[in-house]
Amino acid sequence: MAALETMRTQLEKKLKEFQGVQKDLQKTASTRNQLDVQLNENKIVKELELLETDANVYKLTGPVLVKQDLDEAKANVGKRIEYIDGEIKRQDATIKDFEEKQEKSRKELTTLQQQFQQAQAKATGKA
Amino acid sequence: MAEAGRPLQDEVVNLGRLRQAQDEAIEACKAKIKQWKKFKSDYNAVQDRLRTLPDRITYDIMVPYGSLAFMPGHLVHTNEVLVLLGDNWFVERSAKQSCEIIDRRRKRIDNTLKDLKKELGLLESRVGYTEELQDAAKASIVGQGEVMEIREEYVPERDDKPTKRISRVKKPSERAVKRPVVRKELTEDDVPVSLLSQHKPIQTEEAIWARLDTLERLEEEEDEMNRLWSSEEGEEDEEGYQEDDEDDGDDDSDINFTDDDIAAQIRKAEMSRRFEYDSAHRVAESEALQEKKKSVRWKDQQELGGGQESVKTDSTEEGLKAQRTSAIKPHDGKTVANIPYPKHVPYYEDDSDASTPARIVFHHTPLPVTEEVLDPVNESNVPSEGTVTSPADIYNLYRQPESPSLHTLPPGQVNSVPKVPPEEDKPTSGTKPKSILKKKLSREEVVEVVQNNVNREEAEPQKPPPLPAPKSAFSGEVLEKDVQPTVNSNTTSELPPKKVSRFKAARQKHR
Repeated sequence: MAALETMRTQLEKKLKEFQGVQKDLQKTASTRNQLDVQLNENKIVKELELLETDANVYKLTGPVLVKQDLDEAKANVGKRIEYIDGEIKRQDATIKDFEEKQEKSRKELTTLQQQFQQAQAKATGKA
Repeated sequence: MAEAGRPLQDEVVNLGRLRQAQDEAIEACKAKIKQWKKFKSDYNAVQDRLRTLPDRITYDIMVPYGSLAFMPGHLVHTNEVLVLLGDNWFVERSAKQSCEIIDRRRKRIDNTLKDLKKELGLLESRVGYTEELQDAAKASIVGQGEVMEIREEYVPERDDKPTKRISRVKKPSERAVKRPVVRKELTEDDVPVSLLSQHKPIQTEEAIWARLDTLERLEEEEDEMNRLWSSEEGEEDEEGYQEDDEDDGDDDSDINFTDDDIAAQIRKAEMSRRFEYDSAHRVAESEALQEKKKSVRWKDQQELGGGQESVKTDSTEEGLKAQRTSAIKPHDGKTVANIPYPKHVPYYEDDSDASTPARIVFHHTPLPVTEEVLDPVNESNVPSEGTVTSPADIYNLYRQPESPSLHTLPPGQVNSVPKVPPEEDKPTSGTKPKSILKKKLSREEVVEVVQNNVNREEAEPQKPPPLPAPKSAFSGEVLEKDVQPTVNSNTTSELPPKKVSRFKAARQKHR
């Protein structure tokens, strides 16, 4: 019976681990999605290129709409796009790691579960 | 069915889940489409507003004040629009320019919508498939039997066939290469090198059809050749084989390539080759066929003349069939059907003229030498000796005498049920029907029978005595039934001058 208890605790621990990994995975996935959206937006900003040089560009920072230079704006947008690209790549890597972790913990979980069930069956059989 | 039902139940459950997931995906897709459509309509509205906005310099409007109040005001600068480009970037544009921006965005939206619709279509098709599976599973569970799954065990053997085929296809080329080496008389030029080189297992369809046509043509020729040769080869096991055993071995491998064009062509080439250098023999053969009373003898039997009938002509269908079947008959495991060229070609005597790769013309020749003794008991009498007017005649020709009294052989005659009846004309009535295929007699036995006139009676008018064994195309005695016990046992009476192959000699010794 003691063995059974220990097994149970072990199982629970593993389960928690697994769940934690799953959450991390979800988080990274969501950040990745966000980044995707931002990337798209910034691509839309290529509208800037169609502007005449004397057009006024404003940037909304907080409640303030600040006039920006067109070239500056273009540069900023370009940089932002690059930054977002990098972020996406990083997120992809972390996602992969998390996925692997998740797989591993899932496997451990299943094996533990099987053992637990076997032990349980034995115990109930004995008892 | 209970056990089968459980996996089916699981299947149904799984299919249900799959269907669920697919439906959800479809719903999501539809939602997206809806959203984008709304965006598009919004853009359209804005565009309309923008188009009408510059019509007036100012507008009197109720300006929203907070979230709950409005205030009367004026809309000025009707042509100046701040357009949000994304990521908190604004640009000042005129109304017209804004319209253009809107147009561009709308285009993008249209593309997105198109993609989404495609996706939706795919999802829906998947759902349809899943539905079919579900129905099938349900039906099989319920046992309606309308839609039953057909499950077959995986048979790995099937995969071997293509490889087998390929290997088979290769063989003729090997054989073709081997041929000139084995046969010393051959010159390598004779081998159609082009045939060998161009061997490809896979060809265009047209090439294949053309090949098949040539193959068919060649097969006919080969059959003729078969008839020609098989009469010789069907008689004996290995006696008098003049060719190398390698050849025989070679042929074994090639037996099964009935469909192989290269093989056929090679055979043809070889046949023509044989014609060329065995021209004398060939002509002799053809002459023998065309004329009556030409004899075909073993090379070492040339000195044995005689009126042995060795006509190989057989113009009747039955005879041809018999010949063919004899050709088909396995001959010590060597000869097999469809081998067009004779493996064991007897070397004919040199009473030949200039050689031509001649066509062998078959004539129906009357039997000058009859081997069988006709017994009046036999109802299906041959009308006259040496003539065959009906299949029954042939049948009777080669029947074993049923009784000692019936087992009468004229001196020098042999009961023969030839596999290849070139002497089909010999009437043999009053003999027991013997399987044509089973006939296998050594030449000595024939000779023995010929020599042994002890218990033979002449039951029919004199038939020309059969040729001594080596001379005749086939021996007369059917081993099945010992007509004359002495016949089979008597191995001593050979013609002294007759040369026999070591196999025959061995067999004789053995007996």
